[in-house]
Amino acid sequence: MSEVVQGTSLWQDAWRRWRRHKVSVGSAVVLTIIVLFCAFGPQLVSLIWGWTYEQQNIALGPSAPSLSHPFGTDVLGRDLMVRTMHGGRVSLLVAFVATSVSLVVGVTYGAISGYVGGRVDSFMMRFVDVLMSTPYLLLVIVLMAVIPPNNVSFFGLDGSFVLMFGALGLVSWLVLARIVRGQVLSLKQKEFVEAAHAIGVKPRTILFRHIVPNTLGPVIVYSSLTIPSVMLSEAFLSFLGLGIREPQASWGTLVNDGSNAMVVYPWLLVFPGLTMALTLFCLNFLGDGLRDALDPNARKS
Amino acid sequence: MSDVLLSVEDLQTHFHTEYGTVKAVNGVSFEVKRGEIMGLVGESGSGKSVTNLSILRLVPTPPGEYAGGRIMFDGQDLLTLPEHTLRSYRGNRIAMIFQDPMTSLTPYMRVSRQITEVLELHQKMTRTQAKKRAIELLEMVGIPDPAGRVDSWPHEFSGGMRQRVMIAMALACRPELLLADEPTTALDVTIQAQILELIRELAREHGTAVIMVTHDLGVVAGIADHVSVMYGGRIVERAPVEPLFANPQHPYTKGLLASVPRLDSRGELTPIPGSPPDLSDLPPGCAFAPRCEAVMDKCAKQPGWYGEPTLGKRCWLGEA
Amino acid sequence: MSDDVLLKVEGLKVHFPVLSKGFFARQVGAVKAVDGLDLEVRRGEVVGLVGESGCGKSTTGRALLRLVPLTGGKVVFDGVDLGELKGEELRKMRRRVQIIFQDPYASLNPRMTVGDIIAEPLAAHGLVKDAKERQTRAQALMERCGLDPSFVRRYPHEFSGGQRQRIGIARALASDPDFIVCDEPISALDVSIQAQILNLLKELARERNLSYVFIAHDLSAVRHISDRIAVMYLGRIVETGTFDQICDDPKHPYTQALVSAIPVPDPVIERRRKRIVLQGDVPSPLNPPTGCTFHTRCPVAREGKCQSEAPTLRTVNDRLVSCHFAEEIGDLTGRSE
Repeated sequence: MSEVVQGTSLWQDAWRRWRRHKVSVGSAVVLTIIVLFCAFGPQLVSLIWGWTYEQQNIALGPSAPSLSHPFGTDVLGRDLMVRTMHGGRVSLLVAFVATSVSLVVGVTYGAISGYVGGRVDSFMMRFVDVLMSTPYLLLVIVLMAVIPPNNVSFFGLDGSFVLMFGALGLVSWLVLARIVRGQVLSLKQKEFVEAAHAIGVKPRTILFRHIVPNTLGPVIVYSSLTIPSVMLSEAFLSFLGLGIREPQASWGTLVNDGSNAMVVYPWLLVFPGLTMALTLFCLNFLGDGLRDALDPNARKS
Repeated sequence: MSDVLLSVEDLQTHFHTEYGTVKAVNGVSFEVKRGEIMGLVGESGSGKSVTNLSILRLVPTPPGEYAGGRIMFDGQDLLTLPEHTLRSYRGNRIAMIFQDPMTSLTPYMRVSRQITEVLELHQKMTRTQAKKRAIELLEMVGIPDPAGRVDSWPHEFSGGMRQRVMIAMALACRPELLLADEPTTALDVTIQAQILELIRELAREHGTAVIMVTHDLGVVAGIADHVSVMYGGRIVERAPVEPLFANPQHPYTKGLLASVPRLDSRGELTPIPGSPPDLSDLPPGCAFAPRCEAVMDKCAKQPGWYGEPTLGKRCWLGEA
Repeated sequence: MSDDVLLKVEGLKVHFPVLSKGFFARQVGAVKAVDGLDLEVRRGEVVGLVGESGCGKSTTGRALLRLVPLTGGKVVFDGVDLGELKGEELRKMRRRVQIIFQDPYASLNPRMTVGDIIAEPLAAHGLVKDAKERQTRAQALMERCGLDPSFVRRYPHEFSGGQRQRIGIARALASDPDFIVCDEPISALDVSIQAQILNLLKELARERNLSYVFIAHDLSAVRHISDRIAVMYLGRIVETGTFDQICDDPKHPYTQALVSAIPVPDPVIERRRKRIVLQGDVPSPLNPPTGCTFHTRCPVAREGKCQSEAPTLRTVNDRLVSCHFAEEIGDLTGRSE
């Protein structure tokens, strides 16, 4: 078996195509830098200057960017760079967790619904419809009212996080479940699935070996576009005062605060706003590149 | 009947893709006389369909490019004709039938409207005249109860009936040239027999020249007067239909005839080894050389044309 | 070929329910894809099953493997009624009956290596437990089917259509079956490739004493491989016989029309041949005609019996024909014999 020729799988092929998509690759690099900036930034800052995200300096007040505070400080004299980094941690974490939840739940739910079919499928999809047609803002407000955030804690995280995950997780998997179900329905008709039946492969193996891997292309693309939409929802909820609470910060709350003081202290809006916009841009370009790379229609047959 | 209607000279149609330039048509020349049915035979990827599309300049550019050659139709070069003049030819003097009758009719328009549109556009007929003519046309292509069915929707027709409608549309303006791209491949054999019969009759009665693109040697044998065999973007053999089948000259044509299962014999099939070539990666010499039984050292170079323009082959064997 | 019957099909019916729209769907009709089909396949025999699109030949092929639910009738394979098997029993039976599909592009999972695809039956039935050993077996099968065994780790999209069909054949052979349904295995391939695959299938049948049901819409392809041919029309068999009987001296008017419609690659013969051009289209299997289902297109249908009474397969001139007037109609093309 020493002379065996290694083939190129569709994934490797997609990877090669994606690498040619310069904008998408560039976006991935920028995203990595932003993630690293948010993940390790706060430690660095506290090492160099000694600031933390909640450390106030009322005497200093809002001051413009300077060497000791590169992004400036907010009204309470907190260093804006650390707060942007910290806000990034929160925003990215929320986006990442919500997207992972939507991936696991959505793919499993959609795959089962599509594969089993018939009545089960009708029932499972009607349930999705019901959740989808529920006004989700209302749902979040009700949740907030029913569960006082301070009483809940989740792996040491603040109650507002848990609510945020709950609210976003509740809605973000719905579309994915529908996408996967549609994919599974069409894959189920494919001859290679019929071939697997004819060979005598067990149904569970058919689902997870023959069907699910073939839905992953669209799923990956959709997920890369879910992240920005979840981040926007988080920002929106926080903007309404329903999400992250002081002294915690997310990009959403920072932008909200900044927009209130925009005329007098523009840096309060500019730095968190730019960081967030850059992240969203990059995610969208990344998604574009992934879609082009994974789209089977673009391949040479 | 002997005057040349269409003459394709050294046509080059290339596609620029991310995998390189695909020379789909790579120096194709042939002539079609009025009232003649020419069979253009080849496998998938031989360039036969692109040749057909190039005649009406229907290859999308980019990624396509007409890299060279001329297509003389009734004294004019179709490749340099202004777009609006060419458009007035399409569906009028030159008509086309496609392979898939299921997708080549617009599903949201009644059949009557789809036929009358052509007539109003090219023949400047009024709605009523056009409708009358549409009914005549449907009758001509053998649709039962044409007056009753003319206002049907495409989905109300079966595959064979739709192909008849397509032919009716193609013939609406009494074209001088009919380009048929595998018109019966999607149909059943008993329906195929009906459609071929129809095309043959129409060519005979109206003096329409037909280019019949197909991979089916049986279809060609039954309908064509002349045959051009394509391989790897080039015509490798041309001949009138009888000598081509009785005495094929090019090794590819020979191989093809020996490998096709025939209803009237049960002899052993001799397959051609290997697979058709990749048009984006053609060998510098003869494209058939890697599969050819009679391959020689010379085949590493591109062979020229040996014989008459209408009876000959592109093969080094012809040199001797 | 021995005389013992490997597969016996009696009165097979496959109807697909047509449901009304909505959550509480009710059945409003049925597509009678296969409607009373009888067929026998002996050990080592190749039976060609021929018909036009929509005649139910592919559904029949799937029903023989119980890939579609049977509405009625029996499929008895080597003494076992496949209709009675459930779940695990049925899955185990699939080791012995295999299928080769029409479309070599759609029938291979694009995300699996060729080795894994070919070895899947071995894994699914626990025939070879060791993964390495399975790959070696896959390579041996690849070699037998004319593929380079060093390509075992490649993916389907790196192969041409003809090569993919060879992969499909290798997979069907992996579990060492007795019986294979070949569902139009050559009709999606290039003309020059078809003969390669046809010859391979023929060799394999001889070598391993395999039985095939070879489904095709093209009689000429079937003729080269089949010992016997069965012609289908609207879910039933209208005529079965040896290839010579069917191709050279067909008795049923539909078979005659089918044979006469198939083009022969020879212009001299083509010019001489007389075609029976059938009028109209195949009726819908949702609502098949009464009596003989062919009477709506039959050039020699007679008033009365043809409309009211469905003919059964009966022996005429050493073959089975389902036509009331098979003895009387003679040769419709008017050839003198």
